[in-house]
Amino acid sequence: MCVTVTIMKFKKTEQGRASNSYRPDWAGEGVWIEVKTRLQAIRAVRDGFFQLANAMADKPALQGYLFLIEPTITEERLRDEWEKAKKTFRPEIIKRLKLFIFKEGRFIGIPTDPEPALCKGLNLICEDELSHGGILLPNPDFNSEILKIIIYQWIMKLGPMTSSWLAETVGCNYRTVATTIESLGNAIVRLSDRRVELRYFPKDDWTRLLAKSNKSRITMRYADRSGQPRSIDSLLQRLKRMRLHEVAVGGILGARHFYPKIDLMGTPRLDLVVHCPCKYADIDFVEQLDPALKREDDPDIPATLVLHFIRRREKFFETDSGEVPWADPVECLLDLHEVRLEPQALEFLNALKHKEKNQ
Amino acid sequence: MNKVEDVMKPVSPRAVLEEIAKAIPEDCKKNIIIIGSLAVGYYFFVDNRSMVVRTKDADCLLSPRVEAIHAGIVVTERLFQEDWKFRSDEKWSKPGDEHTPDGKLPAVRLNPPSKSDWFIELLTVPESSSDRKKKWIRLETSHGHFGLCSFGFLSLTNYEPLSTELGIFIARPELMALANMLEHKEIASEKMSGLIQGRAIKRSNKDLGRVLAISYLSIRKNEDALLNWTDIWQKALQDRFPEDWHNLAHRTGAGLRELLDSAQDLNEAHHTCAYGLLASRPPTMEQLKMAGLRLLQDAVEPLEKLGNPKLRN
Repeated sequence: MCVTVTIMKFKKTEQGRASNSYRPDWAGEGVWIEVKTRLQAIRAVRDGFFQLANAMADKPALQGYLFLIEPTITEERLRDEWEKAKKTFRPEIIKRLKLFIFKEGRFIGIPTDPEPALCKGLNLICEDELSHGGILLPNPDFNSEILKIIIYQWIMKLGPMTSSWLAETVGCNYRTVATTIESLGNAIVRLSDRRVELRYFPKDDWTRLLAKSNKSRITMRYADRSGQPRSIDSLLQRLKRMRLHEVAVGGILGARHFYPKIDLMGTPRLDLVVHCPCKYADIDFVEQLDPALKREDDPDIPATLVLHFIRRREKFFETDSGEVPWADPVECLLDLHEVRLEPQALEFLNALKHKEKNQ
Repeated sequence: MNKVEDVMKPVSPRAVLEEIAKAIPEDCKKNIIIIGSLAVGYYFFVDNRSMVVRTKDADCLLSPRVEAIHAGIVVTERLFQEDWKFRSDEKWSKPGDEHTPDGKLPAVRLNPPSKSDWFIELLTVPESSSDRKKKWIRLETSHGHFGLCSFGFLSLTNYEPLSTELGIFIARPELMALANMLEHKEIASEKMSGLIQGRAIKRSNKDLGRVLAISYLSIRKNEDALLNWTDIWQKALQDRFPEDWHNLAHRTGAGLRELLDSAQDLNEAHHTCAYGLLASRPPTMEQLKMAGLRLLQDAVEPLEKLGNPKLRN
């Protein structure tokens, strides 16, 4: 007997460029698929269910698949989580929601295993996700991204903003935005049209952000292995020639760009901000910048190059006539704190606060 | 069994070049281009008399080809007059004569008066761009018959040579590097006849190690120096190999990549550098490898792209 198998066709979505707040990783005809690779935390499973359910509530015909590739969580634990989801979501949502797992070469489905045609489609997703050349980043810290944007808007004197604009700009859901705004307490002014803005610089929240920035702000350090380290200027010239749109200069150079009078001599390292709304970061450009730069995890060894990743949808980079994109001033401020240049960070913040609009 | 011995001796490039320049007849200086480690050493350490390189020979290229035989005879006669001595070895105890076949003639290898730590060797450029095999031309002198050797990509080393204050020329280090890379498109098993600091070394590893050393020294002088190499490499290849330059350019880095991918071969290359050109301040093996990776990225890959048949036209 001849069996014809049709492969279900799924396409990878363009994350970070969608106009609405949530876009799944993959989409097919009437199907949205949220993919999580090598997942470790059960909280991310709940988030995945919630994001899909939220979208499905607005789109009555939409099917939602949460697809876990090689999770470290046990099947038993995932079945428990599914039972909780069944109790939480309305029946018309739960009948369209499915959990698929790819582990050790086989597909498992909850509540039911996938059909052969679907397996073929899921297999193609697996191949794409697992063969990805980039590095897998941990889940984004959306609260930190929201706080940074609120401060950016205030520093740049760009005026109040709506929660939905924040959700779109960051790429998270409305609930996360609401929670972060709520946590800012008196520092937030709520206007009659429901827009919000900062009343003053939220010092305590900023201190908390700094305290957890080691974890929330993914940082990769690179040190020279050649014994002949390239100067920061040489690296910068090479970066210019590469014309990368998703990589911007931050750190001391960035701070000096926004405030040339800053009390800083020399540039001991190059801080770059990499815009990466997706979960995979392509950092091949580091090798192009200098093949002698190698990843260095020992904080006592001086780094020549440091990468910071921003995970929101909008990058807020600025390009000058020299065509070097500059990271936003909030990222530069964080970089100054990271290298323990506290007096200069304070000086920079004060200068930004008192800067005229569009100056 | 052949007797093998350590062949590299510490010498000052400037002192050696001064001695050669002093001995060469004035009207032949324009025909002499120093190539090899002494040329590299002179280029990078000219202002530092205390810097030494370990080498065994001073390779002198006679150029242009049409004047090579005449210049070779004049230089050889003069050096003998100045009491330079034929350097005998196991293969050749004395110069050849009219009965010695061309391929069996000894090269002009002469030790300076009262010195045995280094010797001068005369070479010349190949006759044509397609002539890449080792060839010998007979030099008939009053002290016997010698062979003037030409091979491979030596013609690249007399492209726009650099003049020195001593009146003789040195080859451009970047063109010596290119010649060595083109000569070794893979790591061959052939070993050097002598030991280098107690170790038998593959010739490819020694020559490609020279490429790494030149890159390392160039970066030390100017961190972005390698970015300028592609341009002169292209011009030299187009000039010396007009018919074939695309193909040569396209495969420039093949041997170097093989070297960098093999820890054993890289170790041999590092050994030759640490006891040769970079003897004064030897880098680690990893540092030498990084110089190679930078060379590939800054100069070799752009040249290979120029030669890539898919990207032509």
